Amino acid sequence: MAVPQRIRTEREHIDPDVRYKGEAVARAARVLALFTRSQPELMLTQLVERTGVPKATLLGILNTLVAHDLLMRESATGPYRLGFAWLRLGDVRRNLLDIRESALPLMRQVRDVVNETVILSLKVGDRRVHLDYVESMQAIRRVTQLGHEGPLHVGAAGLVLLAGMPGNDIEAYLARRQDVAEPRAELLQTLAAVKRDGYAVVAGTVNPHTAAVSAPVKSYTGETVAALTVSCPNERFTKELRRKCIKAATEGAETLSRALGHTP
Amino acid sequence: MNAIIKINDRVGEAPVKLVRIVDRAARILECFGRATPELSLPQISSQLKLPKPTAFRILTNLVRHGLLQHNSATATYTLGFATLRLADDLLQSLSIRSHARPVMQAIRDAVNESVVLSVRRGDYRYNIDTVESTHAIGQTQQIGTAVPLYAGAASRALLAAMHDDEVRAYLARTKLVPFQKATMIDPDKLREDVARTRRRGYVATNAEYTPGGHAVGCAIVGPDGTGTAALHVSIPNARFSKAAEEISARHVMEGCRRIAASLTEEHGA
Repeated sequence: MAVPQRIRTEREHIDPDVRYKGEAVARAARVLALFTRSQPELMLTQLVERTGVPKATLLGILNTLVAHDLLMRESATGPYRLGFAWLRLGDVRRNLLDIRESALPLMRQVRDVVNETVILSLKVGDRRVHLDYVESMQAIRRVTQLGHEGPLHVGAAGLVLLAGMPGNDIEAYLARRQDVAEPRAELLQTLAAVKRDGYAVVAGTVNPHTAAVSAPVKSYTGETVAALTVSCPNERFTKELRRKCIKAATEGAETLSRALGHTP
Repeated sequence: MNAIIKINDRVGEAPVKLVRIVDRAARILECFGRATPELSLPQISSQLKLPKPTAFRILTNLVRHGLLQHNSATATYTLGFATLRLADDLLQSLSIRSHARPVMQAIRDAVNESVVLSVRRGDYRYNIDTVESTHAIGQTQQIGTAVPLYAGAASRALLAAMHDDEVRAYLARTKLVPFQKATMIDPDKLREDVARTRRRGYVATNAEYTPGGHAVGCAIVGPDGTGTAALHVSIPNARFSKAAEEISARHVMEGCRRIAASLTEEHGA
């Protein structure tokens, strides 16, 4: 793919007065870390203050970051902002995130803890889709299939995915669906509880013989990108197993979220 | 070792002082791309003609700050999670996204196809936000991808929203390479396309950059007729028709006018 390259039109030449400082890269990294969602713009004086780096030294670092579009500045006296080079680099990094590959060893661990079936599901359009699963070793166990689809408002995984959507997207989803049997207020209450608790439990309502506990897998943006579900026969779903499944699903989902760059 | 280098970007401007080690660190980051997401120390040091100890020291620093990740099993480096965080914070800080979001949602609801917001930066267009169609089948638009200004509907809408002399200079300096069979690489055709776009207000393309779909794009232009942001609707082949194109064009053009109005309002009339 074509990538924008900065065009250097002039020779580079070396200032003999200034010697290499070992911590310059670390300082540059610290400068970058100061730019956040809540503070996207910083003035030179603020950067001097926050880094404690002398102004002349800091200017060299800032100029270098601007030259590579890692920072940008609209005017010579204006604030600095993050540059567009991060979009390209972030895109390259994101292409390495294979949720299925990071999830599989972890799903096996979760299965070994509770010895119940573990399922990973995604939201595709208005549907919940099972991407992968690891089955319980017990003779009687929950079985499912790859690619199995269902609506978002039914089942533990779907509820977790739906609860992770922004409020107006949930409203729009409900407005599009003709098949929501549950009273709207009740469903919204359920979704709020899922969001608050960090997991959803469904036992015997979707299918009288199955129970499931699902927790959200979040990415580096904080967005819910998948649901990790532990599911078992409803007959086995005692208070004790329920407690174990909640622990296994939420801890598993947290580990997977961290592998996807999520910081709580 | 001498640490400061100077470059002159434009004739007549004061030279800009760069810190060599930071410059090298930035060059290391730039080595990573879609085709080369994983690199070893020998690969990096030979590509940048850096001594291995120097490259290693910079790599270690970048790893410590999360900008790179070291995979000890394969002895390679990849970009770190901090790049995702920075990319996301940059996206969130672009105020045009909040102006565009409700309009993009309205377009999506009207045509139920994915709507994409992009901005021009230099000679490239970057997708910065998307509202996806609710169909299970649709193209997922990658956010952050750099697309040249001659390929695709939103790109050419942005090309047409540049000043004439800018268009001329862009076509003179750009090597036009095809990405797909349909990519427009004839400068005369591109000039005609600019004129047509300015006349009718939108660009319609079929698989010029990514295969498998149609797109209808329009630029968000200010009172002076130029603009650096665009919207496009992406329609998979299976759902495409001339009527679908016209309906999308109408909604996209109206949406762009609404966003332009909301931006003008904010910046104070």
